[in-house]
Amino acid sequence: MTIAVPAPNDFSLKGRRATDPGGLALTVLTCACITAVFALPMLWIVLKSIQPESEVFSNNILPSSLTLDNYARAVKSGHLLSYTLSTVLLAIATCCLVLPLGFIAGYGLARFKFAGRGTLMFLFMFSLTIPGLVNLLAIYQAFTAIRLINNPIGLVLVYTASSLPLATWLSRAFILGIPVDIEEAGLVDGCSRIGGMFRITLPLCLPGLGAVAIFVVVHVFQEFIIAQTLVTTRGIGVVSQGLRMMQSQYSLDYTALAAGAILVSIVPVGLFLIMQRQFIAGMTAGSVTS
Amino acid sequence: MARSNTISTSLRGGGVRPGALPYLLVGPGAVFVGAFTLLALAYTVFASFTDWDIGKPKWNFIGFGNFVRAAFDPLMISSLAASLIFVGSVVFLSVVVGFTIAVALNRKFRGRSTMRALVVVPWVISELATGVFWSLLLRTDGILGQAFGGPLNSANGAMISLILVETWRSVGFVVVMVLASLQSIDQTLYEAAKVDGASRLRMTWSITIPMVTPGLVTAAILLMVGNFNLVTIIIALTGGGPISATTTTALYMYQQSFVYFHIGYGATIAIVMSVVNVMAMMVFMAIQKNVGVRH
Repeated sequence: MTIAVPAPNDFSLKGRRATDPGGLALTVLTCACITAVFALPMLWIVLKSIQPESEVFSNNILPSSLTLDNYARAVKSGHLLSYTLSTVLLAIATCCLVLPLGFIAGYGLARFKFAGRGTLMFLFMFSLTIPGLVNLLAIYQAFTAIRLINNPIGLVLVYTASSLPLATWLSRAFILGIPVDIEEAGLVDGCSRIGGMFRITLPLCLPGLGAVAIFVVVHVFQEFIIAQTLVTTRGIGVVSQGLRMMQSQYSLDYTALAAGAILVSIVPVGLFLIMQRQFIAGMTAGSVTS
Repeated sequence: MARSNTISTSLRGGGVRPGALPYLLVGPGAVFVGAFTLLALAYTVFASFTDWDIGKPKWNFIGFGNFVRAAFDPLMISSLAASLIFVGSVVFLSVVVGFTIAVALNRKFRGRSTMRALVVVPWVISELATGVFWSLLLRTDGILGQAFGGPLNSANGAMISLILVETWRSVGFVVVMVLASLQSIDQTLYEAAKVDGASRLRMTWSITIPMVTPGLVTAAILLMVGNFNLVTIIIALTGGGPISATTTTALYMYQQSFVYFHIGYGATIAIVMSVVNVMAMMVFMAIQKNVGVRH
């Protein structure tokens, strides 16, 4: 059986060729500004991170020799190895909860009409937009009471709660794009309702769930304030905490701080560059009218 | 649409009563999300009516005492002013710059996906890394800090630096949202307008701007809420200083709650913030409804 997989949206760029001189000038000017404002500062930090520490105050832009010592110091003083491992584990555990819960909730909202659906949609939509900071005090108190402070499980629960609205919303949008006839054909063939959901719809949704997974990983690698509040034990928590520790304890070691900032950014930036299409689909989910 | 894409619940399947199935599917996720938003909100409301403080042996209900205190707290008032300046400037600059970049990138040329990626990368980097990164450039002995005379040491300089750094981070989000809207515009509209002799400016005003407005407004509201609740970059870049020049309401709430452990008062500020958040959300949903139900 061949099924045309519905793409949620094509995020490859299209457009007119620049032919008029005015538009061309705007484009050239914009590219020059983007390079100056976005690429140059990043390039400067990369240069700092491979410059010998002794040359940090020299006025030469280009270092006289290149070194990876700064990276070694950053890994050591920021405990970046154990923090990176911990962040990866947190991201995987969060995905294990978010993907199944988000998929079945998205399926329920997309495929059934039932009393209370509007209220539930409102709940997910509401939580999609409201950041978690205002709830942090209550979460901190609750976790203190049930001993989830300094416990990675506590962080996984919070990250799951903060990623689920997006996961549900994306799954729902994706499932709405799959014709219900495909499932009903399966029902006629003797598939159960639940069987149809897992054996027919789920495989078609994998690209969408992949986008959700990337979003969750990037979210956990970006996160700082929740982890900093709920986890103080060194080495468990997220990478940004290691960088923060470096910033407060070794604030004079510029070159190592530059190296640390780069190390902490490698995973999310790398994932973004590899999976740009899925990531941008996630960014615009639930916000662009289509 | 001739045919509904939902399954009639009278279809039987899987041994589960069809009437219960949707609730079993949506339930677990809804409980999770509900516990962390609605329960947390209820708890915060409760705490905001107490004088709960880690330093005191017991707490009492004090009614609206904390809210009265907040209304006359000079630091609370200055934090609201700081939030207003910070959020207003970041949203305005991000929307203007983001729209311009998106329009420029909405035409074919070599390297435009590179340009788009370059603009979006700051949105992907951890907020703390962005703060550290820019503090290295802006500190008194950093390359930009030297050029601008140590901007982080003066109240205005610190606020302007914070606004520009956060704009640098947010522009990519606006670009992505506007580009997605621009890409969905039917190109024949422009061709028809050209045949009718419309000028380029006229086409931008009458076709491009109305078509991207929903995406732009959505981006603006999401950025507004996000920046109103932002603390990480401020902690990494200015720490709220000098003195309290860059202490926004979000940072003030964080300090009261987790630095001084004035639980009751911290909760009160969180409630004030929630009111602002929910109002922004209402506007957001009203606009979404006007534009038409998505998907």
